[in-house]
Amino acid sequence: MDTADAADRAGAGPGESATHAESGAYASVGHPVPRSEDERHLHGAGRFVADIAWPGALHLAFVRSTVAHGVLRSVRAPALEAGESFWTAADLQDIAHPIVAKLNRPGFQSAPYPCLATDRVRFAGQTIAAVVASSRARAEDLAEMVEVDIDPLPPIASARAAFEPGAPLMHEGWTGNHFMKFTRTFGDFDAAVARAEVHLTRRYRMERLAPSPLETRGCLSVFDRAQGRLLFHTCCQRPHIQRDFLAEQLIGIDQHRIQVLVPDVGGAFGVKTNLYPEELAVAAISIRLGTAVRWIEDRMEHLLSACHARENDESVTIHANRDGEILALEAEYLVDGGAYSMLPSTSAVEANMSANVMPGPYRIRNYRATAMSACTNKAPTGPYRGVGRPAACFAMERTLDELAHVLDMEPHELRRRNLIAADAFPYTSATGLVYDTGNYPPMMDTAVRALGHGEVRAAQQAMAPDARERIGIGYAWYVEQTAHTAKEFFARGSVVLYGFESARIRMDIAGSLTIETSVCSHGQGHATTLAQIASEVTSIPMERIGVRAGDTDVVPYGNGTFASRSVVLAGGAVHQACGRLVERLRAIAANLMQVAPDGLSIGAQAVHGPAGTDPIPFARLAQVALQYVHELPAGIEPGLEFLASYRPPVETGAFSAGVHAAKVAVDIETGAVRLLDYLVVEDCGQTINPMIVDGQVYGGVAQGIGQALLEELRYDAQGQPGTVTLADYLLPGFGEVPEVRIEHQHTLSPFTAYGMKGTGEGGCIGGPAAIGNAVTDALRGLGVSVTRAPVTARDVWTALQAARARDAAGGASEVGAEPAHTWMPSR
Amino acid sequence: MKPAPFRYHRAASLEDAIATLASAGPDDDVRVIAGGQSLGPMLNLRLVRPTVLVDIHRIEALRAIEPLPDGGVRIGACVTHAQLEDLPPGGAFSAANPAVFPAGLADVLRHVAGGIAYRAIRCRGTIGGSLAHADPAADWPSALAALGATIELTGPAGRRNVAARDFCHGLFETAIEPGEVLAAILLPGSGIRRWGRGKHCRKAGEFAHALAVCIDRGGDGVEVWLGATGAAPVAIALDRAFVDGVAGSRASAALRRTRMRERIAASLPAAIAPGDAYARHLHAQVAAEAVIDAMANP
Amino acid sequence: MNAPAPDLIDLELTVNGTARQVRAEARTSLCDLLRDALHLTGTHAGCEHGVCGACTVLLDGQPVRACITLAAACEGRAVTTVEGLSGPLVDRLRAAFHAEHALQCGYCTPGMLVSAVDLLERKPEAGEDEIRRDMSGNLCRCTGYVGIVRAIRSCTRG
Repeated sequence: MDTADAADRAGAGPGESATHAESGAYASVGHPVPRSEDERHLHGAGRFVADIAWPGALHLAFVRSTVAHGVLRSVRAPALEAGESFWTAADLQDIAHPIVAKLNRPGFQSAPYPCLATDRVRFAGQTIAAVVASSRARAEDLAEMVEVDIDPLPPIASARAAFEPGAPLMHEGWTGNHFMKFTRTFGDFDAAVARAEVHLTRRYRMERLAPSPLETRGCLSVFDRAQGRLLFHTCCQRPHIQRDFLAEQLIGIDQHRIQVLVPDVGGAFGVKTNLYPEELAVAAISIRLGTAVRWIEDRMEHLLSACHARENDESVTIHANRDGEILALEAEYLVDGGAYSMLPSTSAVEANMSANVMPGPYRIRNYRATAMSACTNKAPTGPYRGVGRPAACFAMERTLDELAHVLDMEPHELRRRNLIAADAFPYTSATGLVYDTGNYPPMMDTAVRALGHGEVRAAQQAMAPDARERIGIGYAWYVEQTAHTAKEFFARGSVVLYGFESARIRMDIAGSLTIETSVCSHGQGHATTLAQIASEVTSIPMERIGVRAGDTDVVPYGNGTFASRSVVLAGGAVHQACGRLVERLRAIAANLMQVAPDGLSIGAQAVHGPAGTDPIPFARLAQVALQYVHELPAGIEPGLEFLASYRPPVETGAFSAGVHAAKVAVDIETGAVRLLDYLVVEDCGQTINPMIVDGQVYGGVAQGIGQALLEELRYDAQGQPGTVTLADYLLPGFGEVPEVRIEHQHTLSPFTAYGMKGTGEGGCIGGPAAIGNAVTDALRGLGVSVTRAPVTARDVWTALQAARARDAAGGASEVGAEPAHTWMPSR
Repeated sequence: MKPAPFRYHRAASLEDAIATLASAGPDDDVRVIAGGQSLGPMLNLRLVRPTVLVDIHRIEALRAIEPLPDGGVRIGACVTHAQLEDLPPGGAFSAANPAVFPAGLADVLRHVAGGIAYRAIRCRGTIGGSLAHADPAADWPSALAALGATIELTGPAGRRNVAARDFCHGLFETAIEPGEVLAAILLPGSGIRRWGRGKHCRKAGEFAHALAVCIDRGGDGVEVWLGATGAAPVAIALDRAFVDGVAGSRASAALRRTRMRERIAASLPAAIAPGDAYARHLHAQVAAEAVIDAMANP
Repeated sequence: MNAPAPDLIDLELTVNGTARQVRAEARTSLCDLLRDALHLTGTHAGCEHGVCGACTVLLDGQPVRACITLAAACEGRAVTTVEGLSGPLVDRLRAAFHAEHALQCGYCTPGMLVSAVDLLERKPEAGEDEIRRDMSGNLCRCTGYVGIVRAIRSCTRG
């Protein structure tokens, strides 16, 4: 097919938002091409940051606080041998500024997060000192010998405790222990509430999580004296942003002297978007020592101090009519944000995002949201796949099922009644999000059909009254804002604005192609998908297209991989740059053929002229552009390098959507929940590589299942962490994640290349809500409903016991019910 | 996450191991290591910090599974879980050794071993190491007590035997005296009529939260052994007539389980998970499942 | 706190078919020995306490956790890491992992391959349930296991 034509069509207007067949339309885009990344990993030849050999590199270990809150009185060095060193805050104060994360929103409070504690420690696990030695084992020996004297202070171990009268102030100069709190009202809220016939309030809790990529954090910082430059090898999601941050934090080293190098990254999921105090300390110490220093986080450090997530207490009220139409929605989110804000997302990111996205796929115009982010003596929280949306989805979708129960409707019927209609797009949500396209009602139908809703209902009816296992089904909807850019981040108050991604493409004299991209894969397969787009535009086969990323000296500036943006923005940049290459090749060919470029087409690595003429291979055109410049007319610039920095025409993002459906069996004798089936109906527009999209969904769902059934970071009343190994913090395995089924729909975005939308996070959003709904559905007859994620066997059994005890009085019981509900502190 | 420094001695024989233990200085903390699958994580986390490790894993004499003259079985301390998991079906000792296990015993061993953690752990972890470590959540302490095993300890003063039911004293506490090495597990020759097992984990391969084994060799009573109690395994004795009555009842499975659970709950020692209704329920539930499972076996 | 001086030991072992002589501290894990002393970085440390399975290698043909196996205990023994896996079954398994999208970030992949090779050699006819049970000691945070199960299944004689 004529790829130049395809490239033109990709910029199509809103009229093209039809549902397209997956792969029929394109030669490369839309095909499940196996990944070019796989080969090295399958032979153990992947290179992760811990794998980088560096002669003479020293190893660093941190001394961490063992108390949650206290005044740091003294830190005493261990006996050191030659070549070893010991570092406290005082040693780094004139080389590294403390990290201060800010948000441009009224009332946001920031505080310095020092790379090594100065006068106070605010969570168990906070870095106090560092030791450097010839091996990690020796560094750990030394770290144990450091004497730390801390006067303990009373800890704040929960979000509610942060707001109790008399709670000690966490940071100097603050007006209360909140990073941020706000209430916003949208639409004619009070009038709508007054009109409503049903008012249903429910409260929920989502526990604290550890993102837990299989590869922990880590860096190898090399101060290269020969060049006077800092080579910072790290596993992060955003090389250029990391470099910006390092330059800002480090004193006395200008940005041009810093190179950030990101090799293979073993999973990240948001946790590697931040600049951590540990990383800053390692960089500063390597500069001071003038040598190479390596810190590879161990799993205990990861569970103690890498960015945590969620811990979101929610209260929801739905105001509706008896026929199920939602008239108004009220939501309150109280997040335990931990002791400090992470740079740059801050500890307000979870609550703010939850409040912002709560109405989801529903036509809700009247909405009041309160978001509060509390400062406590726990590890800082920050972005983890889904950010705020799993909590919003849990609160919204659980409550919809409760409302359906009250109204005696099927949950999917209630949802269908409130879904945004297909003809309402572009749709601006109550909170101002602009949904580009969507077609939700058919997705609900697909879910109901594919899950076998009717069969499950029949099986429930037929179930023996004393059956040990009860089955239930649950649905959960979400919309996923993807590929949003500067204006959207500005509106959120973000200090860093992620406005574009870049691609530089180079054709060499052999006619093969190199792409340098500003995004940075941690498993997403960019080297494959970006090459597919380039192949689509240029007709160059995938195996002749190389992709480079993760080196700030090489790749053009851009913001990196997060917020489900890479395929749309980096893909858009590749698409644009390749378009320019094709244009140049056509111009050169037109000159050689002595015809007008307009009539020329691209295919099979050649430019094709009018019938009867021989096509000119790219290699010949490259020879002209790069070497035989005497054959170029003066009007055509030599060279075949093209840089495109892609800023989408719409900055509010492309909106993917999904509905998850779970079928569970609950053992009422032990409370154990077994997943019988898990279905995802998703729509992310045109997929570039459907195999990789499915992989994103499967992986996200596994994380959602983990959050729904297993994962939970625990702290005691003294702020002591109780989950510091993977024997305590349970990650889902082969036995816990079923063979997830996926049904696709393709509603194209009108403004992105090919109509694609992002899809990185959706998979993890629906799990807690869908599974919570399914468990509640299974236990409906027993008067039990889920209010907490994870849904543990203990919680289920305990709620069943309580329900039995209350049965005579006709009461209901809540799985995971905490005494929590004396709730909302003063606003 | 690296261990504190220690000296390492690979024992060539049981005698060598015992002599090394005996030669330890007053400031030494000497630990015996076999497969290291329990000790390894604790070393890495620096939860234990021995100054000397004596590795008995390579002592050939401790790696054999052998028939005993009385019809019983001797399992060397360093036999791995995987060796037991892989016992040939039909009860033969091995392809090379056609002698057969007492009836039912190989099935129990295969089942218990195959349920421990993960294959890679089972390939290295040993039955003796697991027992000597005495983590209450481990599988062997309750299973071997239920099987009526005898634990063979060897020390400077020679060899002595301790009944498996008396071997574990509590969390990480056993009958092993300083200087002694757990050398073998001896299993009785009497056949097993029926057996059943219950186990509750939050995820596959995780340490159990409740664990029970019921071995029925005939006789007046039926004993069910509970593990994962936080301390030593606990036996609950049930009256044969009651057990048969429940097992043979025409009541629904749910009702039979309830009757068995309530009976066991009534005998559950107060020291197990005091104040934790769910944990106590789970112990009784899993024990009831083990008994009912046993009775359902032909 | 008074730590004893590190105890250095000399080891001879066979790694991926080659005899190696190494000196290491007694406390060194097999995982660190492979990575640091022998530069075989395909064996990944994920948790260092035996749960995640990323460091799984074959020791005398059997899968073990390299992070909780002392290097000193491997004297005279044969270790196979992901770099040394070979043969027709391994070739098929690698091709199946590639075809079924059984890896994303690749960090768990070496341990997955080692465990899968062992599984397929022991149980060439394993069904899905058995695969899931026997692979349960290897964690993956990216793929949801779907592609891994499919890849292993495609290599069974079922």
